[in-house]
Amino acid sequence: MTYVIGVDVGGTFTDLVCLDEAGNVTITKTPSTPADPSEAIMHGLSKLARILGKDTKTLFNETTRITHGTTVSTNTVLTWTGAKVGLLCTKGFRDILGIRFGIRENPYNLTIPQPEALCPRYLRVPIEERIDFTGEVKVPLNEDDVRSACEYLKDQGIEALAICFLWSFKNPEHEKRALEICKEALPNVYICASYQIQPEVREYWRMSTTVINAYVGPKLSAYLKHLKASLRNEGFKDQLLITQSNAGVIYPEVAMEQAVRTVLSGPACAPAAAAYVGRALDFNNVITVDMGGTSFDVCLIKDGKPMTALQSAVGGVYHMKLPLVDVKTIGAGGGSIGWIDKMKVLHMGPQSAGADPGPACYGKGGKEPTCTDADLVLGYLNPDFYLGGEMKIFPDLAREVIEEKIARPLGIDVIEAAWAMRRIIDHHMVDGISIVSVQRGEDPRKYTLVVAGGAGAVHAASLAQELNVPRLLISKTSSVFCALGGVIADVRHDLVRSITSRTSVLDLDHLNRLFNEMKAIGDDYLELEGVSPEDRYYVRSVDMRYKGQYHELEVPVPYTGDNIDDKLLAKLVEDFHQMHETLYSYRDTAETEMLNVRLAACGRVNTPEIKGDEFVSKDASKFKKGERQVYFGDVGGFVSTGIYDGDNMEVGNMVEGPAIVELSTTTIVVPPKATIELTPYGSFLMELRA
Amino acid sequence: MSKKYQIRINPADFSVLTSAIFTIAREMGLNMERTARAPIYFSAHDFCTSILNLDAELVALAEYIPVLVGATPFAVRAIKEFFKDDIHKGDVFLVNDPYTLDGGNQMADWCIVYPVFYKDKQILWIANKAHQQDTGGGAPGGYNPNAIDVFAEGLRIPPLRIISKGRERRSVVNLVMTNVRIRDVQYSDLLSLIGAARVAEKRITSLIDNYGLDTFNTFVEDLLAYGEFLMREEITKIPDGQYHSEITGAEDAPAIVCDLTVKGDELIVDFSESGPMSKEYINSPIANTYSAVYQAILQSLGKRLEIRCGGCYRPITIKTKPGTVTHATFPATHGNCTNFVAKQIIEAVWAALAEVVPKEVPAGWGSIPYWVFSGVDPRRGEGYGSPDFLACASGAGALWGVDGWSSNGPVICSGTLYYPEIEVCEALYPIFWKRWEWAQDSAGPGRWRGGMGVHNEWVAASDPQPIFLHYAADPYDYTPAPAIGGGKLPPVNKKELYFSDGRKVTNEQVRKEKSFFLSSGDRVVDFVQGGCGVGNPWERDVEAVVKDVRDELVSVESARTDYGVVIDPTTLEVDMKETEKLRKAMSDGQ
Repeated sequence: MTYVIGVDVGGTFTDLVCLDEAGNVTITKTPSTPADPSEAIMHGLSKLARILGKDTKTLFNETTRITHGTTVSTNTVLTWTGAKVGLLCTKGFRDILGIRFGIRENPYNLTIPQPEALCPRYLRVPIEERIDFTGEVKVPLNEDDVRSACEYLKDQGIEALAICFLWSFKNPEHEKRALEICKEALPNVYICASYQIQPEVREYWRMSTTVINAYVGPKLSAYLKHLKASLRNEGFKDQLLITQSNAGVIYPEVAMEQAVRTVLSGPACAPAAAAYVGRALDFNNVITVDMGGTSFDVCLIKDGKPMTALQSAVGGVYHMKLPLVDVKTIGAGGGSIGWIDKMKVLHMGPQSAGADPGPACYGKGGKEPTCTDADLVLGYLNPDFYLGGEMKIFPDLAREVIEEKIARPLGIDVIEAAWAMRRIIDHHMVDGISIVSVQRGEDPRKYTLVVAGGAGAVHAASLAQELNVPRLLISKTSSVFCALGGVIADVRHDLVRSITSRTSVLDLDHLNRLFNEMKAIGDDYLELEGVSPEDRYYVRSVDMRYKGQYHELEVPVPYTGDNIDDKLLAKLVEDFHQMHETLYSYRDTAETEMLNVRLAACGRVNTPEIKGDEFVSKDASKFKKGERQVYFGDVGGFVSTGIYDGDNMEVGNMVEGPAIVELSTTTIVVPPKATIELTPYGSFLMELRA
Repeated sequence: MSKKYQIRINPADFSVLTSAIFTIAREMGLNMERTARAPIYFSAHDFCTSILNLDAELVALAEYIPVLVGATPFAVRAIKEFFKDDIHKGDVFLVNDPYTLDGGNQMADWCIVYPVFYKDKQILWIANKAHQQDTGGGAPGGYNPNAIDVFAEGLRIPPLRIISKGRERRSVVNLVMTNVRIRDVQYSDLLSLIGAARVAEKRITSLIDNYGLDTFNTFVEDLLAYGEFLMREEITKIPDGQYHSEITGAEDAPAIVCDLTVKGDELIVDFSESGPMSKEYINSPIANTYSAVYQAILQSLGKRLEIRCGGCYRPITIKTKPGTVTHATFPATHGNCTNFVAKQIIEAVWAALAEVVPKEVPAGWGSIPYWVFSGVDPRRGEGYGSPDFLACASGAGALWGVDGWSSNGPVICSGTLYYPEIEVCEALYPIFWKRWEWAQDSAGPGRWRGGMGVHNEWVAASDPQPIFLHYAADPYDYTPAPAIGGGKLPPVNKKELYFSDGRKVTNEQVRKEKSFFLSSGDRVVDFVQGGCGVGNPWERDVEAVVKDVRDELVSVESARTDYGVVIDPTTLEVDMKETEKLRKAMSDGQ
């Protein structure tokens, strides 16, 4: 038997998933060790070995691949603990990074200070050089400038250096030469240049992406080196792969050089896992929703592929331009606090009680009414079976705090108040789902919700009802989706080139040359990673817009191995018109332009499909634990509701709503007029009737 | 508080609908931003989206350029008054003229007005306004400093039906488009405005399907009452009294006089004593004046409000006198009112409020001395024309406790103007940039310093075509206001031209001549000022001064003379003893 193991290090828990070649899934969790995350990883791996009845050495011998998702880079940016970064920029343009193209995120609230750049001004050194829009050298690189900059920055004690000159994506000559000089002069400094990281038009975005890379690079590199060594010492000799923000994996050595690609990798892999779980039941269009303690993540998956975005802002202010899985996060979670303003308007969040003190019902001193408190008052949660009974929660505390802080001020009773809290938080999530679906021209009624997160299944059916989504899927593996997503992830290298041309006068040879150039670079990476040619595939796209527009749409280009000809180009233009019309309600007669061309060089990993278990019985009655009163809005009050032991239910078991299915990781609320069934693939399928 | 305010619909419904309607307004904005073709529209975000009730009060809006939002109710009222009962499902209207029924703020800002129907009954209005790349008239770009009257400034569009019951009135649209210079772009941008409204109508319809029309209508009234309540609360915090300010700022500009009265939870802003209309194109039609006042109040008294809607305007009474610079009348020129006069009006309101609540009011932002350049790009043989947005990167004013944001101007945009990248500009225009970065000592000193301004420098690369350059923006010797609580003003703007034949045009000549032709090699050099400071500079944290000096934002000289911090120019060490002595002298000299 051989295994693939996925490890995802989160803030609280380190999750591990093991998939064997027959498609059996084993999962486990262990508390994270933030000081040295590899400690928890090693501990989790030995725990996994024990569950499989092996010693760690044997498991490692039989493991072909370990994939690893880490939040080291994300946290480095969010907590301002990255490297002391220097920057070489074109003389005359020292403040591109600080100006951030002029944006103030909130134009009215002038009490918010301007964000500090990740590289302060005194470490941004202007270099005499200039290339123009055609790529021609207008001012030669002044190498002495580069050398004296190195000396100065060395004295300042920088740990990392970014290089970003104007128009370097057209002609990287100056960046290349400066890089050589710097590498020689600063042997112990982490150095990267923008042409290596994201050779794409628009200097602010390219520069900011490169600076983030330099900022997180040293820390991520040190961590990955240490982890590799630890695994090696324990006897693991095969591939370690790191997950990126695009949900693909790469070699640790590539991740060290291109550290920025891991910055938003945290939530990126979960959608792939949702797609995998959906695929087992032939659901290829799914919306994945993950509701935890503080936030709600949502992502749309069409034809089995998670939606991607081309740019993002870390912590809301540090911009980067890189393809990433487009997970929208909103501040709605079990800990979201309900509060009333001066005009007696009820709000939920964005403040959260977090895990400590947590919701009032935790009895840990929480004095604010939260979403979890409302869920408890409404009967959705079982006070004696929270986290499988590991934690006691107190309905009286929830009731008291809602009474005092919400119900009495509004002049309504405590149940009404709890129900109002729930409706508001649900609406925030419905809004989030609309943004990723309706605003993209996608009809949620044609989708299946795949639900994750501790609080997800408590709320998901209500969201589905609001959006007329007909069915939901709740997987038993949903609490480790990120780790599972890593296990099944393909190797992926996203490459980009800028072409900037009207499509009517586009030089097809040039276009094909760019694609071939990117393919050659991608193949070099795949070669290094040992991906054999028959496992390689390529995903292409072009960014298009109407002449004069600033924003582009990414139009997929089918990959046949052949060059792009006039006929295919005409089809791309038509595809663009159609996309524009779907999204923005009109098509234009204006000329079209192509801006960037993209190629992802990918290596298929052979993932077995989830193994289906045998049908046992339709009858779930022996798993009914009892009944309790549960509030359902559509019937206007409390209803006596059956409670089921979800952890032990058997394949084929079916339950009619209203019902509650309790698992140690979550609670599934099944409203009236819905049915739920345990499928052979370890997931519950809930169908809603209109 | 004189009146009792309450939410009448279910509290959960209210919260849900509030968030839903603002999401719709924001989606409209995103759609416009993503689809627009003129740079002023997608880059300067010189547009706004709004949803209004049948009385033309703002229900929800998206936060793009703040100075436009207060003007959409004027457009809707003009359409209502002109068309009365003759408004049908599927109609779309267009208006820009400031002097027909006060419908417009400035003619380059075109507003589409879209009646929203539910089933067969009109329930709301959508008004989307966007600054156009051109609006016809005597100069490209809608800014004609040489205009003698409004006719020379552009095509006057009084309330006009452009789509009738779903069908475009081709001949009418053609008439309009024939009178602008870059018609294909402008037609696309008109589609973008209407497209966004259509998507919003669909969303509103499904919202009402879910909640019912009665609940929805009550919600709209509740939301306005909610905004009104929030603003009255803020006004109540200010001591009653009369406060006064007078803003001139530039030599030739008429004075803006603001008499501000606080009475309980009401605010009266009176500009009647302002100077007479100017022969320059800096007169403010009433819609522009109102909009600027609302912006000034929302950014000072209302800066922490979570909800901004027309209800917030209810406690504010604005008074103007026809024929003054703050209430332009036909046929006065007005092209630069959204930039320059709006800025002065904002400053006047802030300066008056600073008399009583100096810690709540932002200091003045740097003014924006930008050129408009236009011509034919020899690389493609196509016309272009645009303000130089990179010369709009002035600094923001400080606020008590917060330094001003660097390169965040102009104030009427307040950080919604996205400067286009150099690589975008050089691809769009036959221009080669030499420099665009923060200028040392460009900000007004203060305990909280103003934001930095920039050096902007470029060379024409357009042969054999000329570049037509004309100066259309703020009087560039303009001194912003107010500096608050001992804060200082920034240095004045400066513009110079260096021709390749050795000729130089000085700052003073630029001011007089205004228009120039450039050919390849001719160089434009701008200094763009920072923002005003707040609080005595010698009370600024010494560490903060050292940081500014190390970052070369403040010179060693200015650290000593303005901030009273003595720093060794080579080691950057502070001489604390000398510093204390100097600071004491400064404070004693007060």
